[in-house]
Amino acid sequence: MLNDHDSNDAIRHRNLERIGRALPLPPSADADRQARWQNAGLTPGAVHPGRGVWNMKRYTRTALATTGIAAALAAAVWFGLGPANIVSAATVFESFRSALAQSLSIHIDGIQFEQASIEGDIIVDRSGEPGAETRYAEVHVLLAADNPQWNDLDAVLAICQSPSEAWQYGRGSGGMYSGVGQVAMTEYLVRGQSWRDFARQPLDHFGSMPSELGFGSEESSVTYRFTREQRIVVEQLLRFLLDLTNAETAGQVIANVQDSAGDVRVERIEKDSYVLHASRFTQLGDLAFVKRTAPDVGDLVRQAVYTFGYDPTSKRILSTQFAPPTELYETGVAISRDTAEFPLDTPEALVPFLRERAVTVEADQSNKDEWVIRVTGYPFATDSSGLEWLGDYLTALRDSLTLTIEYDAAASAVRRAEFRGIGPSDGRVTLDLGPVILDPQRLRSESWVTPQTKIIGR
Amino acid sequence: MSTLTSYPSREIKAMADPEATVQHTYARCAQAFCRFFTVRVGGDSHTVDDLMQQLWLRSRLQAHALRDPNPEPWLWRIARNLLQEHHRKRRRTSGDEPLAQPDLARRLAQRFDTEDLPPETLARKEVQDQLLLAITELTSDEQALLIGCYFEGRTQTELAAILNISERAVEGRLYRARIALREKLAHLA
Repeated sequence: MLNDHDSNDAIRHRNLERIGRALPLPPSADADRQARWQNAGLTPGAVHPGRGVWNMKRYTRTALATTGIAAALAAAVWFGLGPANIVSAATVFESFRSALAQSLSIHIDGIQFEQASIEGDIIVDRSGEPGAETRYAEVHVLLAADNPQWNDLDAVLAICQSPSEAWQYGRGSGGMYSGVGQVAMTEYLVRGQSWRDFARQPLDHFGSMPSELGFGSEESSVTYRFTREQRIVVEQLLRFLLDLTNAETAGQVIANVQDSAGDVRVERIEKDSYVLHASRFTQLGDLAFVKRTAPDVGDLVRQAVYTFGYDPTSKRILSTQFAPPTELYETGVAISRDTAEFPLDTPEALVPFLRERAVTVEADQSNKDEWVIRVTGYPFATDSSGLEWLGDYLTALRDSLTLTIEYDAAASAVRRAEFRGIGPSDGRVTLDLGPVILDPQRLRSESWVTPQTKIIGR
Repeated sequence: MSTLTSYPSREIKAMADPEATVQHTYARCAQAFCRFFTVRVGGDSHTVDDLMQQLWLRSRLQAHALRDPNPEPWLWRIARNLLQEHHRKRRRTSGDEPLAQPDLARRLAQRFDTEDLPPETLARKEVQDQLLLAITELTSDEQALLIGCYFEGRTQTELAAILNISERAVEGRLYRARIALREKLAHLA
């Protein structure tokens, strides 16, 4: 057996004989186990970046199908023998990805912030002809009044796109009714609105719903808060969910979820039922870290322009407008506009007071009822509470967010998945995968229209 | 169970479909990849199954872009990337994974060539770790030959019959596999 290539090789040969006796090699994988590696839950129409299985050549399709059948048979045999666990996380994630190419409904429930909560449904029906799917979304942002005399504010967006319908309904706030306790809602219905536009910027379609809404009368006042940072969270959540319903993006989204999960385990519930548990989504923590590294805001504050209208007769500030540099928004730092310290008794006192402290002050007195004063470089206090809130929220979310995926091994299919632990009230997003029941009444825009609804388009 | 599969070089050249080629190569090299992962994740078979499935999926999804008629080096690159991602994601080890010690491995490579290694040396855990890491770095064919010959005790005649090559070819390839193992030991990172 020994060859004569060189003298050292004889020593290598002898050493390998000893190594072969002394070294415990990992056991070889049997045929069943090897077959399972190639049984990754792929189904026709699966969502993949690049070429899909049905774009492959016939030979490859046949080969894959044959492999799949062989793997399924191997799995069946394996189950008959009663192993502890044969479904891996990769299989479940791949099946989840495949299931997203079919009909699905997403339910958003109980996602709460301090004064806002989010509810909603996103439904995609793909039971019809290819390319003729029906999509429906309805999202409510409920803003709690900080004064019990006032109603809560239910901002709604509903959008429908089907082979026969395309519309979007929005309801936001337009101001206060004459009486106390009522807020006037603005309503609109846009016919022909595209889903793609909605998916790009879902919160932009809520009409008038700024970060903070304040209403007041002689007797009472109310504030509704939906802060910029909360909007960021909700917007990201909605875009994430809408990307899941999009065949072009769903594969990458699931790959990101899979890569981000720090802990993943698959639990066998009964013979053919498995549940994948994923948690510790590390990328959320990384995002919180990035947000915390905001630059020094001193320079940014000096660039910000603050404009306010001052009524010398009533000695009140009537309106304020704040135009911060973009970087302030990007870093999540706001400037506190507390003007309580301003001497408002006379313009002659107010303007010099500002000039002593600010870099530039321009006073426009062309309207005797209202002075317009523009100020830059005033040493307003900066408010980074929003930034801190976002950092804390994302850090907490990393620890609380879990994903469970229910996998049916007999059908090689995922039927349901759920994200839980969103926010302090254990908000959840549930995905039911497979045929959906979509009430035709819901698809009709007329169900939303009231006499106050402004209708745009035909 | 045997680790050997027949040499596929002629079959690969005949295949025009890169996806089928990748599939065939995956099947041929599966034992070697499994061994590579098993050693490096501390024997956790569930994780190994995951990595093997991901290797299968990733190679299949990217197969259409493959230009090389022999996809094995490409599959090894994917396998190494997957392992790296796995370790990065876990951010911790179980403690069972063998630790590469380049200095020790280098000394071992020298002794592997020049002296008979005593049983007490081969029984040491850190020595076994270096050998396991080096053996599982070898190509699928090299592993199959060394394991068939030295771990499973097959003769060159048996190997030649299983692999469908001549005994002379087995002898030459075994020689090169022994050299390759020494090189892997010498350059273990």
